[in-house]
Amino acid sequence: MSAASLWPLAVPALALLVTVAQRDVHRIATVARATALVLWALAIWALLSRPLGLWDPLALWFLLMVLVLTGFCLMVSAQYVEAEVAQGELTAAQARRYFLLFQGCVLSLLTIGAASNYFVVWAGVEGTTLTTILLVAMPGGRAVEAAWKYIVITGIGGLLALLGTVFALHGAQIPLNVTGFALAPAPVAGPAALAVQIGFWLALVGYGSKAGLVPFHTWLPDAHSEAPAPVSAVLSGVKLAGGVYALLRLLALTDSAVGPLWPHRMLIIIGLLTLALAAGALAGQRDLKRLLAYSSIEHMGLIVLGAGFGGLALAGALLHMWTHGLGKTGLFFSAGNVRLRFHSTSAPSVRGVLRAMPLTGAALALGASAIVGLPPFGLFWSEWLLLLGGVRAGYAVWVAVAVALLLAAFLGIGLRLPALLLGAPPKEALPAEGAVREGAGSTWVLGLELAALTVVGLALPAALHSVWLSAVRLGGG
Amino acid sequence: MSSGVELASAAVLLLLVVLAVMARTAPAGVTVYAWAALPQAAVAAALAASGGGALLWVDAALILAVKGLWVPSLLRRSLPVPDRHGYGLAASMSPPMLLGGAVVAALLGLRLGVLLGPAAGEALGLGLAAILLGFGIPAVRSELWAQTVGILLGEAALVLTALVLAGDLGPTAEILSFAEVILLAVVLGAVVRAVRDVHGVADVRRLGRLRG
Repeated sequence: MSAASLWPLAVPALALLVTVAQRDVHRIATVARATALVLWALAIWALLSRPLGLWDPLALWFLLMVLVLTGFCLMVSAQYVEAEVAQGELTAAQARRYFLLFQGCVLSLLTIGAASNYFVVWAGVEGTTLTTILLVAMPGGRAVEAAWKYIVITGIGGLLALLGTVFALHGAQIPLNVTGFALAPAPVAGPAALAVQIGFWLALVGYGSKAGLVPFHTWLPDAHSEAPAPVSAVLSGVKLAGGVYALLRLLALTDSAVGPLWPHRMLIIIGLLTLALAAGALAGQRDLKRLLAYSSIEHMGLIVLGAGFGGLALAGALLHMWTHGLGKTGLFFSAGNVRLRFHSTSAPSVRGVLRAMPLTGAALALGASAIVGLPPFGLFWSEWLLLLGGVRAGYAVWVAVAVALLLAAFLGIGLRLPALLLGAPPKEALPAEGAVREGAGSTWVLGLELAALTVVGLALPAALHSVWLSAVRLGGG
Repeated sequence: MSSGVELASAAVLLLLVVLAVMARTAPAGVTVYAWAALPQAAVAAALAASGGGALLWVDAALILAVKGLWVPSLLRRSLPVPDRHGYGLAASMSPPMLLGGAVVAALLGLRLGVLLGPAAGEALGLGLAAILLGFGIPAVRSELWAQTVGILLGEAALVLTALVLAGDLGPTAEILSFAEVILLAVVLGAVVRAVRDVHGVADVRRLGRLRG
């Protein structure tokens, strides 16, 4: 593995160049749609040919997720921004800046998955953060406050992650200019082991802030709720998972160098605390996007918990990255449709979504059913595997606590969402002549995502299943 | 020679971060940040002189060019000068409390540094204290320029600490960390400007409509 593994970055890089040269919003949106199609084609190629000479299975698993989900986000971005420009919410210059930053974000996300070096992964995570901060700030008003909180917490976090990586590699006696991931370094003791442990702590704080783990999560609900909907989707569905992926890379190294016991315990504690905070906060949310943001915190806690349990639970955690990404991006796209129609995402301004926007309302209801872990959607199976793996690994008590917290989260979403979906919508939200069409072309994306979630829930396609199993083995599961 | 330079450089950097905590104006804070390039470059040069490789000389030169000149000029253009001088306190912690915390951090860092390896122990400890102090500035100072300078000084201390620990970060990490600090300065400046445009003042005491 070498710099050649970064060649998929050429796609968003080229799209960036074309976007720079364009002024017309519709042409720029077309470039975004074309980029999405190329990313999906790339995903199909990577899935069928499994180029393991370029990427190891764990990297391939994450890369495939990025390719698929950022494709969805680009498609919906094109529709969303065109609608915002048509409504006068965005100027053409702002729309152009949006696409420049969004393509930069896609480039950074692909860097995380395609990289074969710890520092390049870190750079990808940082690039994603810096581009999305500017995207979050775009609407102005309260959004700039969210962006400031976001940059202070995750900016410091990113720098600590860099120091953590240096400490961990130095302690594990791995050259800092290593190409490829050190999967099984020799065990170390004494000061070297202490350096690895400090490194993992720092990385947990740093990448944990990127993933919205407690207690570094406070930027997340604000940033997600203030950002344009497709940005919230990419933040929640892909970017948060990027932080966890980077952490998993260092976890494998730490396990081999100093043993698996204490890093895994730390992950279990942080995972449960994150889950507990989110479960407690969900019931108090009146804003749809804040509700979804806290749900993302909950799911990141769950994924980290699975990584902490290890074994079969890690398989569940890796699958959960995908299933959560599919479900949550769809929900944020729906929230975007709601905002375009209601000019708000908060109760009581938003009510009766099912009557005002039947397709979006149905997608919200189905997406919420998926996200709380109901069958037949994929999240049911990933959560089941994760919890079963915890029991098998001897953490039955912690699994029981996690189940109780998941039930609390289920109730939180179950109590809040019907108030938005049911009832009579305000008159101004009913479709009028000249109003923006429901979803304006993104409903097929919602349908596709729900279908994919169902397929993953019923039977993971063989090619993806094979990559998944290899990734789990590589991750130590 | 290298360990003596490392210790002196870490001490100078810690002192500069202390000055940044007390800085009353954005230009003063940015000047402190520019001077912080010197101890970082000194460590890289000392490591190069003691057989660390020719790339460390390049690294030292780049530190001076990027962190001593380029990033400060970016900050001077982007950070607003407030209409009054003085401190804006962001939270319940005051600068003296933060400085007291830095002393404790330095002592803990020194202990940790000794545990990690006697050769670079003290320098490592002072570097860790400087990181904590730099990243602590957003907790005590309310002006966004002060918070920006604090974050960037924390990064400077972090690079110095990493160099002291590992000797050489390698070209990939070096190049990426330079790119990071430039982009971070640009984005921080852009968000500070956006906050000022919306609220009239770039100060966290004017923010607080979001509840986290």
